[in-house]
Amino acid sequence: MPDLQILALAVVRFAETIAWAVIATGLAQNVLYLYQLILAARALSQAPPVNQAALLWRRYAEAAPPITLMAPAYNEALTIVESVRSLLALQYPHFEVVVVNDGSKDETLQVLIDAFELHPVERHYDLAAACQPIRGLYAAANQPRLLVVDKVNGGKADALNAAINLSRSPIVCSMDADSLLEVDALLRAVAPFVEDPERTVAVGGTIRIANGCKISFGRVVEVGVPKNMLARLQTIEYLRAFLMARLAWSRISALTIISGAFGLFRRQAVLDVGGYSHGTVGEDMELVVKLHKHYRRLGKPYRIAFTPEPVCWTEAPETMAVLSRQRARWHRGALETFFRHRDMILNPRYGRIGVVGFGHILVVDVLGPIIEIFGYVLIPAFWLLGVLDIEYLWALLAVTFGFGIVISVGALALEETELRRFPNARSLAVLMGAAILENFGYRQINNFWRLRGTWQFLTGAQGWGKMTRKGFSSQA
Amino acid sequence: MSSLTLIWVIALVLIGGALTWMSALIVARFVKEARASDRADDRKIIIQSLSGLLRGHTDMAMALLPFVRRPEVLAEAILDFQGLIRGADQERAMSALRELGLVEALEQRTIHGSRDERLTSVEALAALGGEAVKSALRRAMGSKDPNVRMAAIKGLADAGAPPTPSRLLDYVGTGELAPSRVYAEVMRQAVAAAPSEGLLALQRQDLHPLMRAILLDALGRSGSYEAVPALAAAAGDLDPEVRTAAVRGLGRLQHPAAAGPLAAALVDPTWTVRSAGAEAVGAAGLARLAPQVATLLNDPEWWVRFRAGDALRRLGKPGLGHLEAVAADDSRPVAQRAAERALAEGG
Repeated sequence: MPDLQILALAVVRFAETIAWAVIATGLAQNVLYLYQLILAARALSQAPPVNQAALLWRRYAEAAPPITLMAPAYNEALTIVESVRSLLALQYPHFEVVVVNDGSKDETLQVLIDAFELHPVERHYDLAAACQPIRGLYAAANQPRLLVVDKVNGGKADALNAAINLSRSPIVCSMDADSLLEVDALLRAVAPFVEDPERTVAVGGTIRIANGCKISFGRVVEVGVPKNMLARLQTIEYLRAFLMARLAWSRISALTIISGAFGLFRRQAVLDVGGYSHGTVGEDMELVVKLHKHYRRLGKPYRIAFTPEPVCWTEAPETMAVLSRQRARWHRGALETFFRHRDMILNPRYGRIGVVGFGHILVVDVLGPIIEIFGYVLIPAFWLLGVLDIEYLWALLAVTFGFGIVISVGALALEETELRRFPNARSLAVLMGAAILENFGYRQINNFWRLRGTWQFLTGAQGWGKMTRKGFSSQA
Repeated sequence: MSSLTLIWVIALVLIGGALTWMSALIVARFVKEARASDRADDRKIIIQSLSGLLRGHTDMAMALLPFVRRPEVLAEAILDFQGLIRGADQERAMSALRELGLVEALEQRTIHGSRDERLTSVEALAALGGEAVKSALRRAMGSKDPNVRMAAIKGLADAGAPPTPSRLLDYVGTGELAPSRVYAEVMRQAVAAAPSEGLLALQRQDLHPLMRAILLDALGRSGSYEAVPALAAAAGDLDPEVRTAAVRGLGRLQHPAAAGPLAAALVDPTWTVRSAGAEAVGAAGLARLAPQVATLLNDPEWWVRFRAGDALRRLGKPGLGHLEAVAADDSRPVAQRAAERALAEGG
């Protein structure tokens, strides 16, 4: 009998430990989010965005360095011409567009040749960053800003490396071929390179959800709220990720990721770290971490900045199947980078990036989903077994949800106070509803997808999974 | 209060606070929408009045009078409008605004407005032009905000009255301004306006290599041959960044006396200097240095090979002769490829 009592006591202790670990992780995450919210609010209030395009041009145009826009394309025959036309119409003093046809199996190259009257050209380039063989270069006298590179398929990182090799600008801009850029995106994002040219090595831009927006000729002409609930929830999620988390971490020099959909980099800095890495689905995060590591090791002052103004719009998945694949892939990419650079974890040699940046990934990305899912399964089980006090659990759960709502509303409040891109009070009310709703189900299922990403990482799964897009032409 | 109650209170405060915050934001948006609509109407009136002024309707200036008391609205409209017009039209519209007393109103905003308003007001002042504006901008140079200070300095430079190069250097020395690309642009304007002042500033002993490079770049762009000896001397500086800026400057000035320092730059141990040297020889058209440039087609650094090929093409017949000779020589494959590509790119 005493043995049974000891066993029962041990089970209760174990259950309590699990419960407290889950609660502590949840609270640690929420405290981190709250810290980010405060940092982001300070950043936005001290450097409010410039609303007038004319003012931007006046401030930066004369001093703006040349930029190469790198647009990798794989099987984009249906949309590539409109995308390239929209890129060529950007407002920036000196830029060129390098489109890389990454061994497409469709007519991507031919439609480009036909639409822009391209012909084969020669260009002197160095194979400074590793990439698959380049089969040909195409340009046209009537489109002096455009260069099309045809190469053997090698993936996005490989295509970007090819574009970097061909670029002759001091700044390169990575993007997706189907990203929709704001007309003054480059002028906004280049500001840190103009203001702090010696130290700035990379600048990330805010990505927004284009679902629900009115789109014309490759531009968002009217911002709207997605009708699809899943896309609406992602709108809040993107606000939290970009306007809050990335802005906050960039403010304390701990930003570990610049989205592959839009980012500016000093070309030489990218080459100094060997260009984009192959064999990872998180090449965007990996590049930023490599830059941190390189400059920290050299002991050279550097800056990786972030611009809070929306510069790029992207289509969000509207079905659970596609979204789950995307999230699992993103998570796998984050874990690949985290463990590839595990020597940086909480390593004071790497300053804030090792302690705050990697510490954040450890708590939120590596341990977070595992512990949270663990909690969702074990805590009800322990309660059913009668070993946990349900009253406390409900109360703590309410605090966690309360925190979650405060953070989501806070991110939306940042947008509303400083940027105000959503058209009216009604759209704001709709998004507020989504900010509450996302805490009940969406966040939890997201953790499940991330856990799937962890499984894929552990089992060495490769590939991107099928990413189905509706296309922008049907929107609004 | 028991710990359980306390946890519930915290939860309810968080949820209640979030809901209140949300409601406040929605109400505030309703108010802002109404204000934004009024502001858009105001901007429309301002733009229409300015357009009327351009068509010779001088009475339209009266419609602008009420906005002088709200200079922040006028400032935004001016900056939009000014970008659309040029020359005599621009001067006519801006002169009418100056006569309304807008300079004084905007100057007040540069002191008492919010950070954003102060900056916009300084930029609008710069757009207005005129002597009174220069005085106002000089006063705004004393602002505590570095962005406002930089905008005022840029405004003065655009108006043809930049501070002296030495004064600009002082701003960075005291930490009042950062050596941004905008700053470098203003330094170019300052040195172009007074090259001898730039040369004088170059003699300062307290200059950081970066500031020397900025100053040398400005001297190179000034078009003044007075700068050639100073640039030639700086081309032998210990700091590679300084040498690169000096060599580029010599290339821009296209003076035959630069041949010696440029020949030395072509064999510099730092690749950025060799690359700048090749570029400068091409820009200056120093055909007698073509053989030395041709040797750089075999340089281990790609940028140097590329610049050398480009420079030889720019040198015309003598340079092309070297390119063709290297392209035909398969004993040095790296140089051969660089020459071939340079010839191919030149068509």
